[in-house]
Amino acid sequence: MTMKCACGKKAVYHRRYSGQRFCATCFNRYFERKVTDTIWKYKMMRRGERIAAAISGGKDSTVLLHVLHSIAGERGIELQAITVDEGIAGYKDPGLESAKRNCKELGVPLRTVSFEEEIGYSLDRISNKGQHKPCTYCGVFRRRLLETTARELGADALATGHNLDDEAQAILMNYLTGDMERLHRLNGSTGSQTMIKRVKPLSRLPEKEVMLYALLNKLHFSHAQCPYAKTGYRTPVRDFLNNMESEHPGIKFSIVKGWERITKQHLPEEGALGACTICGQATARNICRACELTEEIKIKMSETN
Amino acid sequence: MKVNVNNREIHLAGREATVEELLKQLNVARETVIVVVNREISPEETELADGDEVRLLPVVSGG
Repeated sequence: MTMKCACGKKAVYHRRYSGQRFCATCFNRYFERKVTDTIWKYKMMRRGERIAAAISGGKDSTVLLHVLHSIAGERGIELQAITVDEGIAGYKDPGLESAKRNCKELGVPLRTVSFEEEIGYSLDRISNKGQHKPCTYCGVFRRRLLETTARELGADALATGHNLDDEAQAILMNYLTGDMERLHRLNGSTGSQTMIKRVKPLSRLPEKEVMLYALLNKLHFSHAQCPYAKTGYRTPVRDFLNNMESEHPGIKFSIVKGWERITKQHLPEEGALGACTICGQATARNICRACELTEEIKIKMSETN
Repeated sequence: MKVNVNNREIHLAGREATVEELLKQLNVARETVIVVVNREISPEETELADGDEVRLLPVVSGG
């Protein structure tokens, strides 16, 4: 028996947590409406704003770029793109090529920044010498470069391609480590007044739906897997959540909805941030994490020279 | 019943099976793949037939 969409066409997707079935056309319509609903519900952007989209060339940020581009004109939003070259041999080149190609096709200006030029070393070199896991340096430095570049571009907000799975994983990871401050900071939409507003328009869409949208619309994106991903804490949490979701549809939504209620009711408002004594960027510490790691890397590199 | 999955022949018990049953047999979580049956993206409840070509496209990419 062929499964049908409500419109009568053959279904390509069964959204188990709601019981709906979608053909390709109705899925695209649902997906794009969900992104725009998320943007306006969480007040992620407003008419006349300049939005910097952080794109890696992977499926999530490629989908983000295309959907934002499709709504930017009619909503009076100016779209720019930023991509970060971390310097990961064999992984990053397809992503950078994809980012350039998509931006060129859509006519979105792209700014490329690299660890090599801004930090002084590629992630491959850093990970050989550093005392932390590669994902620690990569995450801290990438966020820093995106923040400073978005500011240079005069952006009102920085949009990233984080999906529902990313959000549920991050929430669970912070619960597991008991890190309530980071748990609170996940709420990028409100953000600190001293940092650029960070928004995640795909954060209420499961990763599987993001991939389905990319495939149905034949988007060009990089399939490469980061060679350092296995060293992180995220992979076992992701596997656990996917196994749970397969047996109990909707748990990823439940985790995110529960976190929203907790942050509203029980966590205090984020305190005012000070300025890093080295770089002047907003931080809750005397020296920000990016400067702390940069100093550590400089010492490690000088020891080996 | 025999189906071809990512260029590998897989035997399924009985005469009837769905994509969901195939994924269970392969121990693949349904959240981690998009399923293409005979070149069409298909929901997991799709019934398979002997000789079907199945491709499992991983959902996770990037970092």
